[in-house]
Amino acid sequence: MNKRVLLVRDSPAVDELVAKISQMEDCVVVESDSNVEAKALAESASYDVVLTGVGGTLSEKLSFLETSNGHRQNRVILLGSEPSPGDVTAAIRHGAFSYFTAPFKTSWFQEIITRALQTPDPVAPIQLLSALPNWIIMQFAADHLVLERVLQFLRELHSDLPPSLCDNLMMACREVLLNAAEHGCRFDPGKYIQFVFARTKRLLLYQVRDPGPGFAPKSMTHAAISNPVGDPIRHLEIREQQGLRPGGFGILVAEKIMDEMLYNEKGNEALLIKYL
Amino acid sequence: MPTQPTGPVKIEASPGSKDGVNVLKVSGPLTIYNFFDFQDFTRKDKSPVLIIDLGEVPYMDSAALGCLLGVHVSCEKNQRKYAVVNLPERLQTMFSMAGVSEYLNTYPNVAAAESALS
Repeated sequence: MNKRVLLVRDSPAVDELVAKISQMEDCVVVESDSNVEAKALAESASYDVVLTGVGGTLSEKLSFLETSNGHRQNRVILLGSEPSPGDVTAAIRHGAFSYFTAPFKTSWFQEIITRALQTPDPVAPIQLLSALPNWIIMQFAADHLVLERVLQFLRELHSDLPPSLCDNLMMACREVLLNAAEHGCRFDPGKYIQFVFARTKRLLLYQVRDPGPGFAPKSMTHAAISNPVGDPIRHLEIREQQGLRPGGFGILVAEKIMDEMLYNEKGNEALLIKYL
Repeated sequence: MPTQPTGPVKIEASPGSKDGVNVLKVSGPLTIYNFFDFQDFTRKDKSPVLIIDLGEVPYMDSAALGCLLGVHVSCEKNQRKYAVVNLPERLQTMFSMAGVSEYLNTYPNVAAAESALS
């Protein structure tokens, strides 16, 4: 069955996104010129995914998340023209599926739009427990789709940083969040990860807490952090002997990216710090 | 393992321009959710020279990196040759941070790898 995407084509910046969506199989694209016109269309039918305009007000964009005439669009991706932490947190608070600021990185967009189109209902929510511009606390299920959405929101909150730094920080966050989901929650969507992001003038701080039993970093011979100097793949053999999947580089990579990384006594909570 | 749909990764195998060379072109993010497809392809491949083109992989995670190094270990054991080509900058950064850049046989592109290995 065809998936229906409603989008607002109000800027040349979205042309590449439209091209990506149009290439997708079983996907019908309905275009509109403005948020207002698209909203009228959304009130008369349900769409699998809605992409707001790049222009227009935040309230226009958030209005797609309200139920009108019995139609509520479950997967609304907000587009914006410039970084705005307030808009990003508003999008999370109102249950938007994702948020992207121009110029759009098509690889991230393609990942999100594909998941928006493929993942069956219901979409697990991201609970926003606190949303000050410089201190955000979120709680969400140990679910891969949610992790990808969280990472994209987070990427937007870092969009004023140099792209290579932003990429590295997201790489570290991805690894630590995946560890929390896999080892702390066993990918059980009924279990929750708490994530804190705080930003001061001089540092970025991330805190990841999972409900798992924790771990002792120094006892992990199956992780790359335990490898002897000069043998960076020693742990792969140990992982194979223990029947573990390939990997084990996550903590090492995160530690290399961050300036400081520490764990609580139980080992189920990590603090990651990057100085600016 | 999670049951979410995998990301939009595509893996295409094709013969190289020289005898005994197979080229595996991977497109899309390579992650814990889909690296098994990649692992399956690489394990089934018995060609003397396997070239893995990662030019269209925007990012990979620790699990996928471990899988890629599994190819390295397997080829070393079985005296087969492999190459990783067209590495995007983001992946080069990850390999460097993981301390494995010097372990993997990397070349700028397929032609350079074919010339060097076959």
